[in-house]
Amino acid sequence: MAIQTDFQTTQNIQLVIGHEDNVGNGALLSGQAWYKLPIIAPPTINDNQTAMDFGTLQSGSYIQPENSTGRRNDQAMWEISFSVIADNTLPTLFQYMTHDLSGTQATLGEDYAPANWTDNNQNVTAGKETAVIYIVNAIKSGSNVEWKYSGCVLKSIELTHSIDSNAGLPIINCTFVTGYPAELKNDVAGLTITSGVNVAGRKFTDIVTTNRILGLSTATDGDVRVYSHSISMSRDIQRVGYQDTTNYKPYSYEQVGELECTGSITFKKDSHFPTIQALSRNNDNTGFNMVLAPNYFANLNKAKMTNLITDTGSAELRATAEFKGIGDPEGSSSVALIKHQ
Amino acid sequence: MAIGTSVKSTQGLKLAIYHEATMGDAGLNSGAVRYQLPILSPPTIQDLTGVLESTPSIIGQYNHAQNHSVHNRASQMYEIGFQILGSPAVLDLMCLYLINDGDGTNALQGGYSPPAMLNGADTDYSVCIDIAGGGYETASASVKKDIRYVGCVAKSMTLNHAIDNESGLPVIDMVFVTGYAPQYTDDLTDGDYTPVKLTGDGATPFTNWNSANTYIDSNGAGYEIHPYSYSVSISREIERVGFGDYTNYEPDGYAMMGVWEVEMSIDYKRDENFDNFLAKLSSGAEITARIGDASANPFKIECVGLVSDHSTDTGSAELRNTITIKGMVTNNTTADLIVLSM
Repeated sequence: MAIQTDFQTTQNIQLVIGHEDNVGNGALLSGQAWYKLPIIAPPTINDNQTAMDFGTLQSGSYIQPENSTGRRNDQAMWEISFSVIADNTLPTLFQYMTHDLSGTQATLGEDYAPANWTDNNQNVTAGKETAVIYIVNAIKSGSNVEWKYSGCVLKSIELTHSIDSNAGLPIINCTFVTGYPAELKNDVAGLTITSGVNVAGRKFTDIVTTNRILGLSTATDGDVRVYSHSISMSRDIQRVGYQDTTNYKPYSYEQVGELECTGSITFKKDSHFPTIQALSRNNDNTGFNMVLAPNYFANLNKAKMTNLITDTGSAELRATAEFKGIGDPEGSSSVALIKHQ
Repeated sequence: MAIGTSVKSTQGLKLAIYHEATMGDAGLNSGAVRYQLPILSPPTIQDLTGVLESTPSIIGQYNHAQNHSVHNRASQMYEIGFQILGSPAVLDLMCLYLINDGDGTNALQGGYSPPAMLNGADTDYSVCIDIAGGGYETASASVKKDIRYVGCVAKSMTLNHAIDNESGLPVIDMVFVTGYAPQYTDDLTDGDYTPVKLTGDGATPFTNWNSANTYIDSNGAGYEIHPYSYSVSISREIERVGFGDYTNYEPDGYAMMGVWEVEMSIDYKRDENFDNFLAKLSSGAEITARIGDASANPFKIECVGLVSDHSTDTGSAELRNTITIKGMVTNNTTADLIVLSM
C-alpha cells in the first residue's frame, strides 16, 4: 500500500477573482486588478466532474451494458458559490450581474440586456461580462495548488444585511457558472493582488440617511425602523454547444428568461404601517431605499410589493415586505442600485 | 505617572429608587416619593457597555479581524440586582413596582395584564435607581460620583425568610432591567434631593407566625404546620423594543414576554398532619399554603396553585419536608395567586 500522508486544510482556502480579458481565455483585462475576497465559508470546489449518461437496458440483459454509456462533457456547467463580506473598498460583485460601469456601484437598469458571451469575445471595462476565479489550496498536483476557472458568468447574487447577524455587516451570497473546464495552476503567488480579507464593511447602524419604503404620496410616511434588508438578482444561463471534443468549450452562453430582481425588508410595525399596507393591495409602484449617502445604497427603486407578512417571534410585532423589481424596457430608469462602500 | 488618587468605598454605597415622571427621564413622578433602601450587600454597578458580536471568521485567516466585529447596543439590556431588608414598607414598595399592587395586601391576580411601558410616557411603574458612590470622580468637576439607571422595570423578586438567617428577618432580592444607557450624576451624594430613608425598621420576625393561619391546604385543625423557613419567587421576562437612534439607542419601550413564574417553598416539620394533604402532591387538585398570623394587620404570605415539588430533608435532628407550590389560578379572574403582606 502507498497511501499518501499529505492533506489540504479547509481553513487555508482562498478565492481570487478578476475581470476576464476575452470570454474564456483566462487572462486579466487590461487596467483591471485581481481581488482576494473575504469569504466567510469555503466556496464550492469543482474538479471538472461531468455527468454520465446510461443507455437503455437491452432486452435479455440484467446489468447496464458498459458500451452504452456516454460522458456528457458537452453540457457541463460548473457552479461556484461563495459568501463574502460586502466590504467597502472593492468594486461590488453586483456589476457582474448588471454589466454597467459606475465606479464601485452597480445599477440594474430597466433597459438591461445580457452581455455578449460568445467565446473569445473581447470584454470591456464597463461590462464585467465574465470573471476568472482562482480557488487556491483546493487541490495539490505537484506544484499546482489552484483550480483556475475561466469564463465565469454570474448567475445569482444576493446582498443581505441584518442588524443582529454577522456583526451588522452586509453579506453577499453569489453563484458563478462556467462551461470551461478548470485548469490546475500555480499562478496566484505571482499575481499582484488587492487583498480584501481585512477590509471593513458598512455596518447596519451606519445606514442612517434613508430607511424608507417607496411609493407613498407623502414620502416620509414610508420611513420605518428596519431590522434587515436584502436584494437578490438571478438569471438562467445556459451554454451553447461545444467547439471540439478536446476541451468541449462552449460557443457561447445565453440568458434564458428574465433577470429576476427581488427584495425584502423587515421592519417594526408602527403607526406608519396602515399606509404602507395599502401597497400590498393596490398596483402602485414601490420599493425601498436603505442609504448612507454617498457610500451605501441598497435601493430597489421600481418594484411591486408581492407579499406582506407579520412576524410574531420577537418582543414587538414586525413585518416583512417582499418585492419584485419591474421596469419598462423602453425606459432607462434604475430598477435597483447597489453600492456598499 | 499620574495614577488617580480617588478611592470608592464599597461599604459606602447607597441606593435610592423612585417612580419616574416619564419612562427614561429621571424626573420624579407627580405625588411620588424618593426612597433610600436598606441594602444588605452592594448592588450591581454597570457602566455603559455594548455586546461584542463578530462575523464568522474569514477562510484563509487565523485571527479575528477587528473590522469584522462590532459593539451592538441595539439589543442591550442591563440588569440591576440588589438585596434589601424586607420591612413592610420595603415590601409594599417593591410589590408596587413589580406586580403593580403595593397597598399593603399586595396581590398578583389571575387577570393581571402588564401596563404599557413606553419611552417618554408616564409608565406604571418605571423607576430611576441612583447608586451613590457607584460612579467615579473626575479631576475637574465631580459630577460623576453616582451612577444612575433610568427607565428601569422590575423583573423579579425573591423573598427569603428563615428562623436562622439575618436575625430571623425577611430578605428580598430584587432584579430590575433597563435598556437605557447608565448615566453619571452627583444628586444623591451631594444631597440635591433627600430621599425618605427606609431602614428596615419593623421587619417581621420569623417567630411571628401563628398556628392559626399557618397551614398547608386548609386553614384549620389537622392542616397546621410548624415552618422553619419559606421563600417566594416571582419573575417574568422583559424584553426591550427597538431603539430611537443610532446614537443613544433608547428603547421605544418594553414588552413583557411569557407568563409570570410564581413559586412558594416552605420547609416544615414532618408530622401526622402531613397525612391530610399528602394526596395533593399528586392529584392535580388546587392547594393553598400560607405563613402568617391572625392579627389585625395580618402577616400573610399565601400562595394558591399546584404542588410542583416535594422532598424530605434528613440533615437535622428531626425529619423535615420541603413543599414547592407553583402559583396559578383561573386566568382572567380576580382570584389571588400570591399575596405578600406583612
